[in-house]
Amino acid sequence: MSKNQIIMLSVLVIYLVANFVIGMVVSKKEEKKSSMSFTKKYFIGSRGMNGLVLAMTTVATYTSVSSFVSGPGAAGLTYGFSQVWVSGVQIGAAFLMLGVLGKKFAVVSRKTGAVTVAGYLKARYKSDALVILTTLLMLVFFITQMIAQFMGGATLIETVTGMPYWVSLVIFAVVVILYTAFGGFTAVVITDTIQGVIMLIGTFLFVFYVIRGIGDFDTMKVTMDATLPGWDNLTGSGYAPGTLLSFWVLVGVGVLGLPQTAVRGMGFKDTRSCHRAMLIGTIVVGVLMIGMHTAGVWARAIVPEETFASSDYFIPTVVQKIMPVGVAGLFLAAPMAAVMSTVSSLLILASASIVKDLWRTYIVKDNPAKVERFNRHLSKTSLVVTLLIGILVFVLTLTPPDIIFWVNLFAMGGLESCFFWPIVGGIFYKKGNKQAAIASSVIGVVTYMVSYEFGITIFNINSVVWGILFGGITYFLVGALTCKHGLDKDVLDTCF
Amino acid sequence: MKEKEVLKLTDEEKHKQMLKEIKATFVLILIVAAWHIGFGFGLNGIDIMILGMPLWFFVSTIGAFVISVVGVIILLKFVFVNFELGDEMDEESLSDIDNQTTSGKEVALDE
Repeated sequence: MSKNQIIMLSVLVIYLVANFVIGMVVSKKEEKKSSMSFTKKYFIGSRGMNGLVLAMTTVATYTSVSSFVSGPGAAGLTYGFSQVWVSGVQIGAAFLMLGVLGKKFAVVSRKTGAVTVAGYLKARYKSDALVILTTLLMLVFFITQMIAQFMGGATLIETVTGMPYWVSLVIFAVVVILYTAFGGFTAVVITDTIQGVIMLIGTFLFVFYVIRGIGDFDTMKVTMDATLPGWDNLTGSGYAPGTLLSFWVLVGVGVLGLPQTAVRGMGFKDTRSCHRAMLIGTIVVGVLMIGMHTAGVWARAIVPEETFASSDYFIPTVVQKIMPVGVAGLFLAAPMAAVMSTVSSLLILASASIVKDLWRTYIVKDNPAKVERFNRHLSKTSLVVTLLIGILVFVLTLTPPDIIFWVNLFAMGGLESCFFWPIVGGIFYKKGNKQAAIASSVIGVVTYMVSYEFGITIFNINSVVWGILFGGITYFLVGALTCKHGLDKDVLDTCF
Repeated sequence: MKEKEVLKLTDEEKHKQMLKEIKATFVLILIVAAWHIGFGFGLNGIDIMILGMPLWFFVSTIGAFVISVVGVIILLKFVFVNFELGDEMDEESLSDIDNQTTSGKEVALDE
C-alpha cells in the first residue's frame, strides 16, 4: 500500500473506532438512566431523542451512499444539473415526514407501546395478516438496501485504500453491526448524529476544494459545454420529463411510506424536539444535497478527459486529486457515515420487527411459560437476531451485483408502494379498514414490481408512481366497499 | 428558537390539532413542489448562469430550499403547537420482567 493509502485507511479506522466507542458509551449511559422496559430501550431508545439528534438521524438514515457517491457521480458524468434538481426534491422530505407522521406516531405509539411501524399498523388495523405481510416485505427490501449500502461502502474503501473488496467490507461492516447489535437504537441515533455532522463537514470540504480546483465559473462552463452536452439543461441530458416528475413521488412525497424514517416519529421526547428537527433537518438536507451534487457537476471540469468504469468511481477519484491526503481521508468519512447511518437504522428496525412483531406476537403468543422464557432471554435474543441479520447481509454483499444507485431505488419504490397508503391513508380515512390496508399493500407492490420488471414506461414515469397510484385506488375503493360499520371504537379512540 | 408553552390537551383536541398541522404540512409541500417543478421546467433553456448554476436551477431548487426553510418557520410559528404527548402505556410490563440490560444482568423493577 502506498503512503497515501495508509493515511486514508488510518483516518477511516480512527473514525470507525470513534463511532463505535461513542455509540456504546452513550447507549450504556442512557440505558442506566431509563426506567423503561428493555424493548423500549433497545428498539426505540426510550423515546428520548431531542431535536438535534432527531433531525440528524432522520437526515442521516435517509441520505445514503447515493447522496455522496453515486448521485454526485451521476451528476458529474451523465446528468449534469438535472441530477442536482432531482436531489433537491429531498429537501421537503424532512419536514414532510415529521410534520405529517411525527406527532401522530408519537401519540399513538405511547398509547399502544409500539416500537415499530408494524406496531402502529397493528394498533390501527388490528390485522395479523397485514403485520406479517408488511413485515416480511419490509425485511426483504431492507436486506436489499443494506446490501446496496455495504457494496457502496466497500467499493469506496477499496478504491481509496487499494485493499481487496472483502477486506474493505469487513472493516466497516463489523463496526456497524457490532455497535447496532450491542448498543441498540440509542447507539444508532447517536452515531447518526456524529455521521450527520461529518456529512456536513464533508460537503463543505468538497465544495471548497472543487471551487478552488475549477478556477472560475466561466472556465468551468466552457469545459462542461465541451465535455457533457446538456449538462446545464433540465431535460437535455438524459432524463425525460416523466422521469423527473416521478422523482417527486419516489424521493419526495413517497418518503411517507418508508418505515425506517417513519419510525423516528416514535422516538422523540416532546413536540419541541419534533419542531426543532423539522427546521434543522430541512436546512441540513438542503445543504448536503445541493452542495454535494452541484459540486459534483463542477468537479467534472477538473477531470474532463478521464473515463470511469462506473459513475461510482467519480467522486473517490476526484477527491483524491483535489484534496490533500489527510483531508481526503476525512472527506471519505462522509460517505462511510452515510452508509453506516442507513444500515444501522435498517438493521435495528429489521431486528425489532422480527423479535417484537413476528416472534413475540406469533410464535410466543400468550402462552405464559413461553412469554416468561421469552422475556428472560429478550436481551440476548435481540442481540443475536441483530447480529444474524447483519451477518446475512454481509455474506450476500460478498458477491455483489451492479450499480448501487438503482438497486437502492428499487427497494425504496417497493417499500413505498407497500406502506404508503396503510400509513398515510390510515391517518385520514375513517373507512380505511384492514381489508383496505392489505389489499393496498399487495396491489401496490405487485403493480410496482410488474411495472418495473416488464419495463412498463408510459412517458418514462417511474414504476413507483404506478405502485402508489394503484395502491391508493385500492385503499379507498376497498375501504368504501367493505367498511360497513366504521372502524372499531378502540381504533378510533387511539388513532383519531 | 421561540418557545411556545406546552399545552395539556385532551386526546380529541390533540388529534384535531395534529390534523390541522398535517394539512398545513401538505400545503407547504405542494407549494414547494409547484415552485420546484414550475420554475425548473419553465425557465429551462434560458442561457443565463448565476454563480456557476443555470438560471432554471438556481430559481427552482435554491428557491425551493429557501421557501422550505421559510415555510417551516412560518408553520412552526403559526400552526404548530407544543402539547404533551401522553404517558407511555406499557403493554408488556404488566406481566414480565424485561428490565434487562444488554449485558444480561437483571435490574430491579422500579414499578
